[in-house]
Amino acid sequence: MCKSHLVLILTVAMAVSLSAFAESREDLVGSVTDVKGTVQVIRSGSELAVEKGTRLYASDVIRTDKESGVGIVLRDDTTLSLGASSELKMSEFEFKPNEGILGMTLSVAKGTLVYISGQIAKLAPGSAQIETPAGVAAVRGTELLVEVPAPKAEKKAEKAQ
Amino acid sequence: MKHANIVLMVLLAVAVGCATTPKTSFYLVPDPEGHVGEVTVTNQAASVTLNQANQTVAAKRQDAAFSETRLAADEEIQAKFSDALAIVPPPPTGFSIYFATGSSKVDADSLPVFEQVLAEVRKRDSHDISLNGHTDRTGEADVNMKLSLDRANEVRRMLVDQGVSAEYLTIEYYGESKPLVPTEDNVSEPKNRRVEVVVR
Repeated sequence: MCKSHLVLILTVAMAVSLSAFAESREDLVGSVTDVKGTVQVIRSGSELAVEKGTRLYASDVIRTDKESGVGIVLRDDTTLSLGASSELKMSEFEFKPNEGILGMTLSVAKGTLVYISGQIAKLAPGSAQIETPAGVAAVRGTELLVEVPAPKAEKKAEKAQ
Repeated sequence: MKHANIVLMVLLAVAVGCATTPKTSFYLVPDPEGHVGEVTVTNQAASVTLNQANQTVAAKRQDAAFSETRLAADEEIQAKFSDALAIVPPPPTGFSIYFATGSSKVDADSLPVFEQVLAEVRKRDSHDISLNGHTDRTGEADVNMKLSLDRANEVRRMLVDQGVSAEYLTIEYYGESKPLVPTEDNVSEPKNRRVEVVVR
């Protein structure tokens, strides 16, 4: 590869990076508005304490302890909350209404979720999805409650404590 | 009356009994505006649509059949979801603050809106406020890009001056690329000279 090509590539790369005129990360999904008890986020293998204002990114897993809960607002105005002993993954979140790119997948591994539709479910009905161990819910503008029982092994462990 | 109470208690007992079986359950409920939408739940066995208030369906696994749909009592929903329902966030609130042509000084007419923003931030003790700067199509696009950032920064400065922590504020800026009212180039449009504020 000759030098002029490299300069060209670097110039293009700079132009591309400059076209994202935002201080926020591209994969920002939402933020935490309220915390009760103990809540963690698992991000790239590390566990971080969640507090009011914590920003959430794609692929984050949010976990609540016993007698805990968390309220979350996503960038498309979807509002979520988790009850005690719950686990939710922000599996997919695409909100670029001007480009017609809209999609959201939330995965509930256990516990209770309250989901109130935001703009993704309104602009692209059915493209907001909630995955559970027993099936996928495709939402068309509404409020949905989901309860996923804890896996059996975990229940036994709780009893043993 | 007494009999009715006994029947109700038996129904509740059945409902509580259901809650202890290891099934994933879906409940469609009216949203905060009272609107009932529609949800389709699909797994390897079947697909079920819920479209009535408090309608519920359950299944054990991806490959297990769904239960019959039924209408759940409010008490059953409260029993399962009261802790999660108690912490549902208020919906985000949006505001628009306007500017004079080429200026990053907030229009006098928009100062009351700024006060509303401040009141909303304080009311919910918001830790997440978006400031999105825009311009109209008067002048050069690259100048407008800078101007839209200046406008967002000006609103940030005003909020910080009022004691809002800078770390709660996120700025994005779009120049003339996202007009509220689409126009030809070099058209002055007051509605497009704005900072959109979202308080969460």
